[in-house]
Amino acid sequence: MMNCKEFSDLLDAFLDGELTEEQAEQMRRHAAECAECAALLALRRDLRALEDEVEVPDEFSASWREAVRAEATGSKRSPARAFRQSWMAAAAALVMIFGGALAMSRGKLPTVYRTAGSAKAPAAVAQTATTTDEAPAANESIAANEAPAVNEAPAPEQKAAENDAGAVLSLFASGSLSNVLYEDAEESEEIACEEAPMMDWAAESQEENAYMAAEAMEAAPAEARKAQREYAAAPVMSTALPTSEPTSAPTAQPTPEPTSAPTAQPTPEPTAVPAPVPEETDAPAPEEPSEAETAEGETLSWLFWLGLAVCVTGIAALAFLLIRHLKKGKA
Amino acid sequence: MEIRLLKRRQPAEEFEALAAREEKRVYAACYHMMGNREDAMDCAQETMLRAFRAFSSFRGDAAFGTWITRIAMNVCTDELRKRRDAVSLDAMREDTGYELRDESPGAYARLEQKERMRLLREGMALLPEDMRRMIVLRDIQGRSYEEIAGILELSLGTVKSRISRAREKLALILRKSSELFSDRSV
Repeated sequence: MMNCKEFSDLLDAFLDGELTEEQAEQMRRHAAECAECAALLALRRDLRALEDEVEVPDEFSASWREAVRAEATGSKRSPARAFRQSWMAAAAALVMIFGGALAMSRGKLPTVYRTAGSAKAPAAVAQTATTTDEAPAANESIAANEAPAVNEAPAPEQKAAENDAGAVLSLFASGSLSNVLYEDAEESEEIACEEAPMMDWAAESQEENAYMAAEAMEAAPAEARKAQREYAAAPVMSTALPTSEPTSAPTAQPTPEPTSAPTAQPTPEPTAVPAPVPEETDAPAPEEPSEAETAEGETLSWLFWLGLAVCVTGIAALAFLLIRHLKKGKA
Repeated sequence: MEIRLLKRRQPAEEFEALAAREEKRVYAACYHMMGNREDAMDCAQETMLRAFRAFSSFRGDAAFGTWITRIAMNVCTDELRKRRDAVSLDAMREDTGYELRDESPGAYARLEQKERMRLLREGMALLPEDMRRMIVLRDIQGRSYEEIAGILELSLGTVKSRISRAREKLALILRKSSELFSDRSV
């Protein structure tokens, strides 16, 4: 006679059909007499039936195969894609580095020269050109060399210059015109010679500025120097002008015509350098308001730090890409 | 040798050939673990993808069926764990508030098979995930103790004891639900 323990131990074999016919008959007889073992047998049979009632959906059979094939295709393409992406990332990092460096160099410029120059320079030149007779004569000699730049100058700036005529007078009154001239010289030097902005604009004294402007001219391209020679009379002329009329000095700027003076102003040419230098001696620079310096200094400092952050980020990204590339190479 | 060369040349095709043989068992294991068709599809699909991604590391130390079933169990466990974090089913399971009378141990066997199957599915869902895994592999899919030990990477003794505990737990759940069902029927 089979007991419950024996029944439980042989149950798996019974369900798998591995028992002898005699053992199987004993199992059936025990289940008929024992309700608990009958329940256990029913439970185990039902559990086996759960497996039989499962049907694999057709969409699963199709979908996993598609997914595997897509995965296989994607993994084949990934190395080339990763290669392209890494080169694009490296290029982006380089752009960040150079952009950051440029922003840093711009951010290091002195505040004083930026204050009035950026907004008022065209207007100032326009005003001075219209108030002096010598200006056209002096500027015509430059016009031949500067013709393309003058023609390309945008017309809206002329209007802006006319509108700002009143503002220019106040600029002169406050002594800011010298800053305008410095701004012109700064821009022309920046274009003509890359060393000039970084090393020259820290100078404070007017003599130093004149000396550095001359250096910038030397570093300028040959074409610019040719124009400079033709325009050599400009400093002399401007120094000959009475100091009580500082408006004559800006006319020595590369302005072919009085009306087109502002248009020539934004085109930085080395020829514009000598004009502001002698004029600077006459301009009442020491009277510049310190408030303007402070305000602009904050902006420039922000630009510098932004450039530094971008530059450092770009270097870090480039280093990361390089390390990853080296690691992959080793692998 | 030929199979190895084929595997090296066309891993996707070789994987498909092997996985197709286990397709039904993988899906069924996921179905029993998850309890419904949609979740079973998702888990089985994830199992196939994970298996394919790891196929290069499969060296044939274990049978492919054992290897891919282990992946399926892991996928289901991960999914169930996520859901358990969202809603604590364990707390719901513990607080049934029902005392087993133990007067009618064979109540389950006396029910109609249709009702038994329904109660069984519900009982499986109430079973803790680690115990459900044991019941699925041993009692539903009929895998040997040795194979289960290989799938779950456990010792044979641990597998036997865990299966035994899982069966007791399931029997207890079903006895409770059967008595409740019998009481409602009467």
